[in-house]
Amino acid sequence: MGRIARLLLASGILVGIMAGPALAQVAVIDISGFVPDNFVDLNGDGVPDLGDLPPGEHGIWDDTVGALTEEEFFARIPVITDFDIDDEGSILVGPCGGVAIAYDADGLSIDAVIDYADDNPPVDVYTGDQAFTSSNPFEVDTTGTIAYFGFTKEEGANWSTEGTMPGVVYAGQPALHDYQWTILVLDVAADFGGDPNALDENHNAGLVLLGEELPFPFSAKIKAKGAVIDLWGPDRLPDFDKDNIESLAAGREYCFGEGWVVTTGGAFYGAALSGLLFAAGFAGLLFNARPAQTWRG
Amino acid sequence: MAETVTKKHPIRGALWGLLMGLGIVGFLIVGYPVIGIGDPATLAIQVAVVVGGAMLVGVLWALFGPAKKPKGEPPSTKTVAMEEPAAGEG
Repeated sequence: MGRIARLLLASGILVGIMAGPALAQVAVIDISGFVPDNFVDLNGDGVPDLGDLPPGEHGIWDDTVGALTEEEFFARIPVITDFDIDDEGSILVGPCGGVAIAYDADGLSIDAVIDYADDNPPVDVYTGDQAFTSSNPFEVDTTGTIAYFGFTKEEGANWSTEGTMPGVVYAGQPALHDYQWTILVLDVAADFGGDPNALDENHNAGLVLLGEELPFPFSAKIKAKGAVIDLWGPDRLPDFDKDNIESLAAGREYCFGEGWVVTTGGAFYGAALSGLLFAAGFAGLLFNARPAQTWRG
Repeated sequence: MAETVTKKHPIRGALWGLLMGLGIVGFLIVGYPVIGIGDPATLAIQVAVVVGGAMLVGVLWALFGPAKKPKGEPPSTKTVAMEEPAAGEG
């Protein structure tokens, strides 16, 4: 290789290293209307980064007047409908939607998704493409934070106006009542819950501090699925998937989602343990399993 | 001239290959996540392919790898030290 060619190669590598972060994608969907004003975009990716919050603040837009939630949501978020859908295991059906922003341990945004509570799958805020797919999983830092806002849509939905739990006085507005929800990973319940929802709340917002919730950081690519069914009652949901969720709901309103999430922040531990196993196996093969000659007799 | 025989250890090869395969599959799941934790059947097949492949490599290495040279000198050239009979014996 000539000197000039080597110089060009080295320059290319240097430019790649130096300009890589600068060439990172910038969000095509503006979700700044969803977070407090003190959440400013520090890393220049178009998604507001985590700011200081007083106790009790959700960290993402919320409204105590639930009836305005749906309108406010669409007023704040431009709807993208012309993105490409490729079926890689990502779906979200039912009249549920929302926004989720993933932050790293420093509070800088690393990924964000949005769902419009329609029949289309969730959308990547950065690219406008289908989110939660195998090739474009939602990236989550296990030492970081997730800010979320979720809502149930009223238009075209069949939400109940009250539940049947004894002693509970329901407010009488269309919403989830006596509902149960479950998140499954490898068909094992990772989390579950339920509520009579006597106040007819149709939205929720909050922060998930993964660094405090998880016992240790880890890196993995996980396919998770979740469902919530209206008027299910106090019992936990049985196993479900996209093929049986409709029959399981049996006419009750429901939302079902399935998609890929990739976690970061703990690759060192997994790689170190795997490396030890590999090194032990490799050394054993080299020194203990190799054919050996011995003298006859 | 002393002859040699070659001893092979395919079971050891399989076991060390298993360990190596677990290391590889662990790295591909939790180190540099290429293998996704999704459908249990798909995951089982992927793990079996990687670990089984490593075990196969281990067995092949144990069967056809370059053999270690024999230790020590051939038996015929060994010098056996004979003790001198003590005075008055024999």
